[in-house]
Amino acid sequence: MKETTVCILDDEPIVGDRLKPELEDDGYSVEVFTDSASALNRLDETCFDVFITDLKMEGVDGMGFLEKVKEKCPDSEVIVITGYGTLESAREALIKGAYDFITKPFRIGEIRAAVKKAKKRAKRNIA
Amino acid sequence: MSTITLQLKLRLFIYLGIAIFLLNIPVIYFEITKLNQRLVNLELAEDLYNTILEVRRYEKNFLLYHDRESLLSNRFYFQQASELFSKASMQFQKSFLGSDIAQLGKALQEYEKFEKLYSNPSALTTNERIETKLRNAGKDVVAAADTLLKMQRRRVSRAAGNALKWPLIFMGAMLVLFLIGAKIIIADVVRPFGLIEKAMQKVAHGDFSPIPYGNKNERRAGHMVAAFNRMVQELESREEQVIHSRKIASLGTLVSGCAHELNNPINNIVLTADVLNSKREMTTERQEQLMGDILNQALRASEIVKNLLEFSRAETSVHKEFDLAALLRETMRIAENHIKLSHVTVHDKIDDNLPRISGNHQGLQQVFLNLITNAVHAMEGGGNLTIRAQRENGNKVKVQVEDTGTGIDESILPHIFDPFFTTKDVGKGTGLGLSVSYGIIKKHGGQIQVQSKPGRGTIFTVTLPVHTKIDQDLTPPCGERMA
Repeated sequence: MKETTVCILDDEPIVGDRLKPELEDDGYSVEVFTDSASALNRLDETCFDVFITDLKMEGVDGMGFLEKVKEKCPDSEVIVITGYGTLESAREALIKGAYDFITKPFRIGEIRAAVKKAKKRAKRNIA
Repeated sequence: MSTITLQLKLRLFIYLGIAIFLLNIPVIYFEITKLNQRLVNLELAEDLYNTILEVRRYEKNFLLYHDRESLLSNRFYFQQASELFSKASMQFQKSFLGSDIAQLGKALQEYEKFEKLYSNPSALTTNERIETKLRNAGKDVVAAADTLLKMQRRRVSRAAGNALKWPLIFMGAMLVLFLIGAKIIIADVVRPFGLIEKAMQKVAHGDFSPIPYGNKNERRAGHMVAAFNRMVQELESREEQVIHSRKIASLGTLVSGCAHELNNPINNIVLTADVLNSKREMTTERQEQLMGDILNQALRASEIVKNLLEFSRAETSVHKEFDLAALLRETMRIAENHIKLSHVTVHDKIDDNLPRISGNHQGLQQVFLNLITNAVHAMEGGGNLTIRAQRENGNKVKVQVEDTGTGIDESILPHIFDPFFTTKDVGKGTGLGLSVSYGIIKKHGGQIQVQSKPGRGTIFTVTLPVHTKIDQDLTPPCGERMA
C-alpha cells in the first residue's frame, strides 16, 4: 500500500519541526512548508493525502489555501489549525470542505488522531 | 455693575428711549404752535405798520396840498390802524408785549389829538405850529410801530430757532442713549459671544481649556462665561470617559489580534513539551534545542503580554521623556497583525536620530495606532503604508502616516476631526478616534493635519514640540485634578 502523504503549512517553523518526526513515526511521509507560496508550488506538482494548514498567514491565507487544495485535489482532506478560532472561521472552513478545525494550542496527540481519521476518509474517497 | 443683569440694563434703555421719544412729541407740538402764533402776530404787526405808513403818506399829502381827499384818506387809514391796533393789543397782551403796545397806544392817542384839529373842513388853513406837532406825533407812531414790528420779527425767529432746537436736542439725546446702549451690547453681548464662539471652536476640536476669567471684558460677561466654563468642564469629564471607553474598544480589537499572536508561542511551547515528554530517543543537542525553543517562545509570549499591558494600563497620563522612534516602531508592531492581514506593505522611514521627546507616552501611542489603523482600513486589499519621522526646525518633530488608500473626499475633509463623525458603517467605528487624537495632540501643544486625494491616498501629519509642557489640569479623571 502506498505511503500516506501529509503536507504541513504553518508560518511558525516550530510547528512543522515538532510534528514532522512524530507523524513520520506513525508511518506518514511528511513535507513541511512555512509560506503558502512554496506550498502552492508543491501543490501544482502533487496532491498530498492530508493537508494541515494554519489560517492566518501572509500572502494566500489558510482559507485561500484550503480552496486551492479542494479545487486541485478534491479527494484530499484538510485539517485547519488556527491561533484565533471563531465560530465564523470554523464554519467557513467546514463549508469550504475542511475535515477538521483545531485551535491552537493543541497537543501532538490531537493532530495524530485527526490525521489518522482524515487518512481513512481520504483513502475511502479514492476507493 | 455686575449686579444689574444684562436683561435689566437693556430693558432700562428701551424704556428710556421710548420716554424720550414720547416727550419729544408734545414739546415739538408746543413749539410749532408757538411759532405759528407768532407768525400770525407778525402778520398783524406788519399790517399795522403798513397802514400807519399809509396814514403818514396822506398826512404828508394833506400838509402839502391841504386838499380834502388826502385828509379823508388819512382819516380812513387812521381808522383802520386804530382797529388793527385794538385787535393787536388784544392779541399781543397775551404774549407779554404790553409795554411796546402801550407805547404805540400812547403815540396813536397823541396823533389823534392833533389830527382832530383838522376835523373841521373850514380849518384847512395852515398852522406851522400844529403841523410840526402833527408831524412829530406821526413820527412817534411810526417809530413805535417799527419797534413793535422788529420785536415781533425777533420773536418769530426765536420761536423758529426753538422749534428747530428741541428736535435736535432730542435727537442728540437719543443718539447718546443709542451709543451707550450699543456700547453695553457690544461689551456684554457681542464680545462675550465672540469669546464663546472662539472657545466653542476650540472645544469642537477637543481643546477643553476654560475661558480665562481675568480681564474686565470677560468679567462683564461673567454669567455667560461661568456657565460656558461649567459646560466645558462637564464635557471634558465626559470626553475623558469617551477616551477611556475608546481605549477599551480598541483594546477589544487588539485582544482578538493578540490572541492569535499569543496562541502561536503557547502552541509552540505545548508541542515542544509534548515532544520532550514523549519517550522518543533524541540527541543532547536536540534536547537543548527544544529547551531553548520553550524558553524563547515563553519570552515571546511574555513580550506580547507586556505590550498589551502597556497599552491597556489605565495609568494617569504620566508626562515622561521617551524615544519617539521606539514608540512608533512599537505601535507598528502592535498593528502588525492587522497590517499583514490586509496585505499592506510598511515602509519605515523613521529617522534614527530623532530627539527624545517628552509627553504622554500612552496617549501618543493611541494617536499613532489610530492613524495606522485608519490607514490600513483605507487600504482594504493592499497598499503601501509609509511612516516618516524627522526633526523639524524650531525644536519640533514631524511624524507622517501616509497611505495609498481610498483617500478622503474634499467635502468631508473639514469634519474628520469632529467627534462622532465617521465614514465607517454603523457599529464599525465610533467616530471618536480622530477627535480624541486631535485632543491629545493639542494637549501636547502640537498640530495634526491632513492632506488627501480621493483615490490616491491620505497623509496625516503630526507635529510635536520636543519639550512639551502639559497643563496640570489635563491629567485624566483618576489623577488629582488641579483647579
